[in-house]
Amino acid sequence: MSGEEIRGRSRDLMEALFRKLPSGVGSSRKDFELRRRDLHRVLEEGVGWTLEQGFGTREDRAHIEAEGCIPGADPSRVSDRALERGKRQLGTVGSGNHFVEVGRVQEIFDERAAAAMGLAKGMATVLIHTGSRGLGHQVCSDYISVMIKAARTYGIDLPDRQLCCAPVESREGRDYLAAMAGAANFAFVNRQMIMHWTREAFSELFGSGNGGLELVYDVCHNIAKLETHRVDGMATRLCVHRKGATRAFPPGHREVPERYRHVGQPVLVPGDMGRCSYVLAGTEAGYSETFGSACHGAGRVMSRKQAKKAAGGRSIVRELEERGVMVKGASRATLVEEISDAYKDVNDVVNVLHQAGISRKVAKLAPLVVIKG
Amino acid sequence: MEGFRYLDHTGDLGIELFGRSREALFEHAGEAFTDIVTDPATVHASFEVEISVDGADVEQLLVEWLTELIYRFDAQGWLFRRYRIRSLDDHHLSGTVQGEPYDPDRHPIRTTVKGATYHQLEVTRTEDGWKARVIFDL
Repeated sequence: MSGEEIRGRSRDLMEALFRKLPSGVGSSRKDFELRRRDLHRVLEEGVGWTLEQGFGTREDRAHIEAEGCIPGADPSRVSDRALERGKRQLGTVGSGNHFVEVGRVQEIFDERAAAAMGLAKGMATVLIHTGSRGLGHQVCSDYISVMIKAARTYGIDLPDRQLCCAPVESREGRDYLAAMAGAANFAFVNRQMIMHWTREAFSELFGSGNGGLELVYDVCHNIAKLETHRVDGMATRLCVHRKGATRAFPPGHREVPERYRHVGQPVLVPGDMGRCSYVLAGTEAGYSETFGSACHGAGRVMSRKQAKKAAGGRSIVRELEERGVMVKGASRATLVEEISDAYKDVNDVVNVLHQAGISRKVAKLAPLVVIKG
Repeated sequence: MEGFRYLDHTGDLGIELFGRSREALFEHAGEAFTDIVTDPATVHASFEVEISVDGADVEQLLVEWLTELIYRFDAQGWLFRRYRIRSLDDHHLSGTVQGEPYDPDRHPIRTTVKGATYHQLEVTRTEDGWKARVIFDL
């Protein structure tokens, strides 16, 4: 499907997405309720559970990091409070910088990689940016208490208590990794469900099976993973913590889906809702210099308070509309905090990645319709 | 000074708290949390809930107290207007809070909060009472 087709019906699409995708505090789909038993399975099985429920396809699974299930997840390491926070939030976008963005491919930088990823100039795209919601945040809060104690137990001196930690192989470390894997699996399922409902919206408006949407890639951000990398020439087992970062594996790596193995893993770098976003590909240089990691967004340049001030009496919705972007958020407050001016220019950020060789530019996506939680 | 004020922080949101007593300091932390999430004037004190939390020291107690309020809002949909700390020592806090269930038609959401952090956390004694700083993860 082309971006032009979307442009003609962008308001309809925005309304359809807003109806289908629960966004805003406390909202959830009336036709979907999760039982406690299922929540455990979501944490343990990730996308395996989603497929069984009829959300998404087998082909999707091959294009998800770790095939949509980080092994070793243990729901018994996740508190009741975290489960309770997550139970009603599965299948919701959430607020803050989370969004669903429909766009079009504005520019192709690498024809070969773009072809492998099924991207062509003018083609319609969808970016879904959300994660483990309240469940993940509660896992974080719970384990920070555990880690503060653990740091004392293991004699680790902390410059700031938020940097609390424990050895990976300790009981605390293993418990945390088992809980975190559960949260990551919850996030895979969350995105898969949102993708399913997005496909429904496309299908209703434009016809065609699956709404004509094929999954390019689903990748985690803000996660720690046990991986083997070369350190001083030696293959070494590491716990790679990608905070504010995402995975960017090189061509040839066995964890890169077969379809992309000759060009490298698709790396997704969303920008702000007014400018653009990028698809890049992982590189050998990135693999050796950053343990196969890239940034996962542009990063803020203004505090939320400054953004509010800068937005003043401006109509953010109208401003974006004039730039060809339709945007709808559950609250004005979110839109105001997320104005373009509040972020670094993603073009600059991505050029740094590209020039430093950490990842390679493949395609630039321009937004057409944005749903903010 | 008594109450709270916002601190500018690029990524997240910070607050500075002031209280004549530690109890007042914690009550202001609750009021600040409500002010971050919604317009406190729209929240009715219709229901009363008992809350108690534990911590290894007063700083952890402050984070746990805010974590509790975040959980009550995010998981259970409670917004509170009034905070009364009944007892507070270095390891334990108990109090009553008054508020009502979140109603999207009446309570405008300003920002949602993921968690209260220990980053640059401080609870200190001043000449005329207590002062604290907390950064929230948004």
